[in-house]
Amino acid sequence: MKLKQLVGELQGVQSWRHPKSELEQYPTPPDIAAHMLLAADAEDGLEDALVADLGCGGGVLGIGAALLGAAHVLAVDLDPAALEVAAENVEEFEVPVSLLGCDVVQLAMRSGPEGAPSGVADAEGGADAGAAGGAFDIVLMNPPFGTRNESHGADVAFLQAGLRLCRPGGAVYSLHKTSTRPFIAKKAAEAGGEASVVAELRFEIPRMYKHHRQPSKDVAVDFWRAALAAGEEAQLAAALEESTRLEEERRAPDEQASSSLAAERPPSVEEEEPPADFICPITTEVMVDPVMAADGHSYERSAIERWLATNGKKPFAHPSPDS
Amino acid sequence: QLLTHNMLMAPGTKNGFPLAIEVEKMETVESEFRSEFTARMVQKPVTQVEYGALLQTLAGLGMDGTLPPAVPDSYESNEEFLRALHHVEVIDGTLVCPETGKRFPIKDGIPSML
Repeated sequence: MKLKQLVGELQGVQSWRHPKSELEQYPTPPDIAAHMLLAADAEDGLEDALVADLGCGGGVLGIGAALLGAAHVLAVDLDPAALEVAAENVEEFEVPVSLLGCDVVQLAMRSGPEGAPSGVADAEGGADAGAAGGAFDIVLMNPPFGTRNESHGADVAFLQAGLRLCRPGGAVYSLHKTSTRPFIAKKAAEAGGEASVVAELRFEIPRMYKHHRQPSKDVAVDFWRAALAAGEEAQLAAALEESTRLEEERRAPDEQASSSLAAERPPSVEEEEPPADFICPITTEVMVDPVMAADGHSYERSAIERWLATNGKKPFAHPSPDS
Repeated sequence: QLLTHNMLMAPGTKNGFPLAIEVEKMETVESEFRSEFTARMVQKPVTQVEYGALLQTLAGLGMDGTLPPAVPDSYESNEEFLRALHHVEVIDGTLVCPETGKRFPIKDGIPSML
């Protein structure tokens, strides 16, 4: 399915009637969702896949995955009101999506036929010794960014949950604020994951909640792909233990630059300018290491450096989002 | 759906599976059946005890006949069982954790483990 067609389909997905700011509920816009889904399909393949949509809201990511050929989707959310809307959407689209009311961070699934159960780390710390990975081929999410007091640490917890639920060789696709990029990279590595930024997007958030002061706000967001490095279950267990401890301590978010943008957060308006293209204009493939050129467009780093070298110009450095 | 149930564990447990199902209302859904995918998804019970629990679940759903009494080597060829996994949906009922006895309601096809 082409991008335009998928976006058109996903525009039919209803979102919350009364979003809850404490859960950081923001709908994933159809164009962002479509980009995420097509990138996942291109890299890992959605056809016949077992997919999870964590923090599904209205279910746009899960439904989109099914439209692209996923065999079965499990969409999970904490909010019964969101699940109600998701159920209506699933019925409307007639797709193989199962819904589950559960805290994503607490979700425990048995792993694939060859593995033992991947139980959640208990209070004493450390996941089950037999944990050998989850069951999902692909995990999709647009998680809470952890900018509210109630959701502190949720962005990392969701990502770690995603890695735990993947089967060996599976992949997690997620969105996180660009300002947290080094932090997310570190946390993914600690969890035994290999993670990279597929592309950088800009979300324009319309005024949705009482605490929003401006008519809209632009936020830079990274689209990540993470996968467990082989044989990293022990590190994942250690990371789960650490994040459980962190939750209990409720440390101040000194590691996260996100606190300065606490009020405003993601997803945008459909009729706005589309986000940064995932496809490099030079290679015509999904970018693995995107860099932004002086013209404001993103290119695959290796391709643009080669082009600039051939054309006698100096290559540039990728601008750091924190600089 | 049984396919999903087959993978679920009770939250916060190490071995809280398989969850027992108490059915109040169930439905057979006609949807595209992908036999290879479904076979890939079947969690092979490791022990006879787990298998016994699976048999009990199926009995509760009126599906006794689909599986043999002892753990079979594979399910790939058991199309009746695979179809049942795929098409049967519990609309209203309860999931019970074998480890803690905790009960999770299922309403309109959605289990709630909150």
